[in-house]
Amino acid sequence: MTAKTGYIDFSNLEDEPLDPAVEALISKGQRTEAERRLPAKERKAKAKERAKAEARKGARALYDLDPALIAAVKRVAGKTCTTASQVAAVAIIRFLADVEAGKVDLRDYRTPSDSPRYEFNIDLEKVKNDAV
Amino acid sequence: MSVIIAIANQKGGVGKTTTAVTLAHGLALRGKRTLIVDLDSQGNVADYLGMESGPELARLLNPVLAEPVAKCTISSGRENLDVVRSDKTTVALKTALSGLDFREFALAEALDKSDGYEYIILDCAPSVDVLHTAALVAADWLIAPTQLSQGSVKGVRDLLVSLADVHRKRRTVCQLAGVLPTFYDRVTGESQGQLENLVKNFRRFVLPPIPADTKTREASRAGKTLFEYAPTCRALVGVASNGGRAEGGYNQVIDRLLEVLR
Repeated sequence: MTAKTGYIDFSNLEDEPLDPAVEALISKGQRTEAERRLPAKERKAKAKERAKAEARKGARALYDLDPALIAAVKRVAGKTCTTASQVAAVAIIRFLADVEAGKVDLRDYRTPSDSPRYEFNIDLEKVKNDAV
Repeated sequence: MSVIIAIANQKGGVGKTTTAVTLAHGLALRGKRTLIVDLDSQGNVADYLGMESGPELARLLNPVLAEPVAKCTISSGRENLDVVRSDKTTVALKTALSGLDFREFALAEALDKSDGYEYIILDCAPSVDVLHTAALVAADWLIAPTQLSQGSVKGVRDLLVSLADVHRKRRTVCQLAGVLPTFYDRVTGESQGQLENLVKNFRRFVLPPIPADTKTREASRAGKTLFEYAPTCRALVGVASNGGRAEGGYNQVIDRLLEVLR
């Protein structure tokens, strides 16, 4: 769209940015078109990749963790020849079971938070000490 | 002062009335007092709103009657949305206007006295006649819906030639707000190719496309707007693009218009 002044010189629009929605739909269409031209085998691989990505939706979470914890999970995964995601899943499953069973009470580790979004922080140092 | 938007394309079947009615009701739902004026003797705006067609346009623009706009508008039965209906009497109106000097200014003059509307949407007929020119003279902005086919894109070119002609001869302010691709089908190569062709020609003037959607036909048959008949249909909310975000659709077009047309 344009400001309400002057005539439009349609011969001189090449460098003008596109509406973001139009750009997104065109790039999606071009990708689809490019995929259509691939050999059948590659087309199948692409479709499989897309299906995998679709299936992964909702199965990923991003948490802020101490790098030492991330390294520890990796270490265990390496030792047991499995993936870090699965080791993290085992740790979470066991922890949640302990919470359910009353073996762990997070209220013991809470400290007041300055954040307007959360009332408490968890004192991770205390958790570590207790775990040891 | 009202913002007057003409919805025009000389080619028929490109989605002009659907666009006019949907934009008008969309603006009304966003709290903008809106008037839709049907300039087509087929009187389809009334059908799309579930009303009988009527002779209000002929009464508004008749050189003898020249009734004030307040007397020629009727409520659409929806909050913030009034309508000036049209019917077969519009054919006689065009004949009556054709003998007048300054006939192209008749609509602009009539709408000058339309206080209280933030937006006035003009739904043009698919022909180049006196009312078509009068709409371009009266409007501040022009939206050109176009089906994604070779013929329709040419129709936009012809329309822009008309607009340039109106600028040159009648010193009006009407500017192109955008070319609106309708019946967008992301699956077919033809639709995609024509969208790219449109973008190559009109760049930033290409508005977010309206996906092809049978709900639009069903809604008009039911005499309801898309917001009433199928508020989550593709024609309103768009289709997924890269990254899964919905793009296109009338909701996005209304957002764009509200950003710019003030």
